[in-house]
Amino acid sequence: MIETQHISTPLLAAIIALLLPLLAFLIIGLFGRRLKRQGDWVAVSFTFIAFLFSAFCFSQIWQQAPQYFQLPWLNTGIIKLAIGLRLDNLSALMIILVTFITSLVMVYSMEYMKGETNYPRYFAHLSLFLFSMLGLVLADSLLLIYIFWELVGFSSYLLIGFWYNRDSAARASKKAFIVNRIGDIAFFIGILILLTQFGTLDLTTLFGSGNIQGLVQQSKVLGDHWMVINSAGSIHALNKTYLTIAGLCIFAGAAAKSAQFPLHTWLPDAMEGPTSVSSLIHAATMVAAGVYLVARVFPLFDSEALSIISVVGAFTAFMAASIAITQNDIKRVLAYSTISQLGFMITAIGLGAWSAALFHLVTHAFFKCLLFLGAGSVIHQLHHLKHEHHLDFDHQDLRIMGGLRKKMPVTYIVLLLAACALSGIVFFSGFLSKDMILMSAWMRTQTEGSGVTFLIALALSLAAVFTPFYIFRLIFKVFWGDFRLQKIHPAHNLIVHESNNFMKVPMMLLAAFTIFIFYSFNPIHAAHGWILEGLQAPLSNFNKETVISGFVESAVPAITLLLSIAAIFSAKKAYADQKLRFLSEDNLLFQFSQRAWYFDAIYDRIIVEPTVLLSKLTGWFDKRIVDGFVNLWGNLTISFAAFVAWIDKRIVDGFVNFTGSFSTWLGSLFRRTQTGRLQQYMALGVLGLILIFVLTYILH
Amino acid sequence: MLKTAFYILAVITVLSAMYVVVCKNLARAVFVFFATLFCLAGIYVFAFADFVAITQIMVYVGGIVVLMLFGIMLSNRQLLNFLVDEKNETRFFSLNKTGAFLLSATVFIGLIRMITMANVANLKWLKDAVSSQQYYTGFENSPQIIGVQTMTNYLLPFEAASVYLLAVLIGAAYLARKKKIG
Amino acid sequence: MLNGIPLEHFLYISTALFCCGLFAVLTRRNAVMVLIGIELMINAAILNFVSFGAFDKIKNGGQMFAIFGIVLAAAGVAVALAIILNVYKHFKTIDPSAIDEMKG
Repeated sequence: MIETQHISTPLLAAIIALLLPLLAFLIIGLFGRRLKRQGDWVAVSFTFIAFLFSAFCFSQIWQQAPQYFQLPWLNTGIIKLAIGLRLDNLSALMIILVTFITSLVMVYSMEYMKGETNYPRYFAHLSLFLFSMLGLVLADSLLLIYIFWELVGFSSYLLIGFWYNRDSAARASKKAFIVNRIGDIAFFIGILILLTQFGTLDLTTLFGSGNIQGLVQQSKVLGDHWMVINSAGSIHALNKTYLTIAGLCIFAGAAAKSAQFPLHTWLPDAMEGPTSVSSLIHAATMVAAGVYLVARVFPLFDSEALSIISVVGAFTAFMAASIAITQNDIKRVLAYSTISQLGFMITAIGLGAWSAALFHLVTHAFFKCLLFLGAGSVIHQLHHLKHEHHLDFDHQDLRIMGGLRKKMPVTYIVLLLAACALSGIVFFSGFLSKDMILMSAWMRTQTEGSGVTFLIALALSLAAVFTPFYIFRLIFKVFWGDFRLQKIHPAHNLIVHESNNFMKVPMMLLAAFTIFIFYSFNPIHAAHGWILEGLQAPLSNFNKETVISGFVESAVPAITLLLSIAAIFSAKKAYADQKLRFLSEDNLLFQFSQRAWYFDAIYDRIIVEPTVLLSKLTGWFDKRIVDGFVNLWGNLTISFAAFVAWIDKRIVDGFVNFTGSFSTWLGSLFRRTQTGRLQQYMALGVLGLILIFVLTYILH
Repeated sequence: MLKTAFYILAVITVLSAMYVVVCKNLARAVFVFFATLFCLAGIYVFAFADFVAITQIMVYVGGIVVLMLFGIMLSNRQLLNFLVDEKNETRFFSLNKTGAFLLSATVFIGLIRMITMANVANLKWLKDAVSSQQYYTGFENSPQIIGVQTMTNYLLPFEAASVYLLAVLIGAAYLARKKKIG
Repeated sequence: MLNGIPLEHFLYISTALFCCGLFAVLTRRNAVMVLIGIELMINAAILNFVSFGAFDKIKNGGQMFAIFGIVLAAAGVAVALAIILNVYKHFKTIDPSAIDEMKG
């Protein structure tokens, strides 16, 4: 454990950046309604100041030695837990990313959430989220990460259920919470395994930094045993399966947060929250926390774990992309797109393309956030329309939109840029990062030649082709063609306006970051860009370095780009020009995709329903058998008590009562002589006198 | 002649006393009581107790009876009406009254019997008094004797009676004072 | 001696008066009449004092206590009347059998 009591300037800046949102949360939470403008300026300004501090931090830390700050916390004999911050390239990059995007989203929210009843609560929760997210990326031990992990989940729960009086929002927030719970339990089991094996949860001690090996790298698998000289200096061994289990448990935690199969179902439902929340939390930052965690504990994963991770990631990427094609809700398209992109990142980590994964995380954060903000802008305007004309329609439904290109030009342009970035068009950021992942996948196939790696690469490529199709489907449906809502309601003169500057400026700023220039001066290859230079995979005993070279390096990007452009054109034909139909809506495949592969139905059937049944059964058991036994015992006791009561009442009390009533009777008897009447007393007195005389007379 | 007067007085005393106790009208009863006390004073004279007789007339007749009548009449008209109203008296011979009559009669018979049995004429101290000329003959100045005795042998009872009278004076005045209502 | 009247005759009168008084005390429903009954009994006692007092010229105890008795009776009547007034004010009756509580 590295003890550093001297706090350097960047660390101080990081601490301030961490605490500012907490302060904002407390101020708005306590005094929000009393503040001017309900306190939104507090959140925005504090977040912006936090961004400035983060920027300073970043400038000091990037490509420099990591810095630490630790305080001893829990000291239970062998296990010593500390709390502290760790500033290295990854965390510095994350905090600047998170604070920057949060600042923009907060400015955007000032307009987007205007007039909400719980306006201050929104900003308070957003500040809480920012605090937890910053804590998560700055934390220097797995325990602290876990704590902030939970806090992030909690604030996400609060924000999904922001419109808690809507049934669907309340359900969605519950679903998100419960699904995340499953992952969290797994994560905690993983933490406990690590604590048992290594005796510490400190990230630096466990995973090392730079070229220094941590305990994880020092541990060896010998025969059936996973051996290590732990932090207490003694040899500790566990069965080697625990290594895989630990890795998979932590990955399960990450999978829940990052919405990977099979724990992905909460994210589409989480779109019930405000769109700005979706953009920040469920696209750019929080869901990326899973990827961040997997990246942090990367050395822990052995080859089995890594291959499982890459399979899960690739499957998720393909599945989500295929679902996104048919969704009609604008936000759901983006939600599945997010799941798909997160799948790319997870696969990249599983393939050992550590830096590619994090690079994609950064670029994705910008363009996905932008996509959501653009969608939010459209939704916001349609929502206004709905209120102005008192119409009833689903303002998130793609089927009612169309032709908004001329009415919302700024939104259209920024969304177009973001869509290009997502599709991986050359000169955009997505091209650089996504193609790196694809290249790694194909390179691995080339070097290993196994069926699994081929399938992974194929799934990713298919997803990469689906991506431009579904995102341009969205663009064309929203912005091209005719305004279908006007056709449905011809009586109304529906005029859609562009959103105002509060929303436009953040979007334009984000749009700038979709351009390649910010990441690498080479528009085709990012390998020598500054960001990849700074992101070097930690040492791992199991990772096989994939050096991208030769045929793959040029062919994969070129083919993908061509296919993407083809997909965009087919989308244009199908949805802008309406000249092409792929599958009818009754088609089985279409239904399969639109119903999201029936995962919700399956989970309902195999998990929710049996759980409910089981709880009903246990409820019945508890009520009838356990309670029955208790009640039987109770009834017996009552009967016995009644018997005792009878004895007490009739015999014991009877005796007492008899004594009492006898005294009463005697008293009432004598009471009659005590009438309080003087004359009676006197008569009795005289009678007594006579008696005495008579007796005296008789006796003499 | 003297004997005749005595027995007339005795008969009036006893009869008027009887009337008093059965009379339902209070005012009338008090007036008859006045007669009883007056006759009784006459009987005292026959026992050579002139001073006591005068005191009896002054205190009882002039004091108590007047107090009863005028005290009630003057202080509380409502009470007077209540008292004079015959309805507030019960019937003469209720069961209660029979009992009381029997009781009184028993006492009367008992006392008469005791007096006859006691044979007072032959009591030793009376015989001694007669033999030593200690009895009244009718020529004594009884007020003088009483005055001398009061200031000599009976000074203590006299003083006690005076203190008692003072206490009664204060007490009666306190009880009869007009209280504030409420 | 007593003008030739036997002592017993005084005592008989006294007894008769006493019994009249007793009867009045026992039966009358009127406190004033009860009081008169008491006075009658006291007078019976005084008559006894006086009768026997005729045989004690020197100490004159009989007559002396007759006077004390009269004084005490007079004082008693004054207090009793005051009490009767108060009782009437309080209970609106002066029936002794109806007054069976001492509390105000």
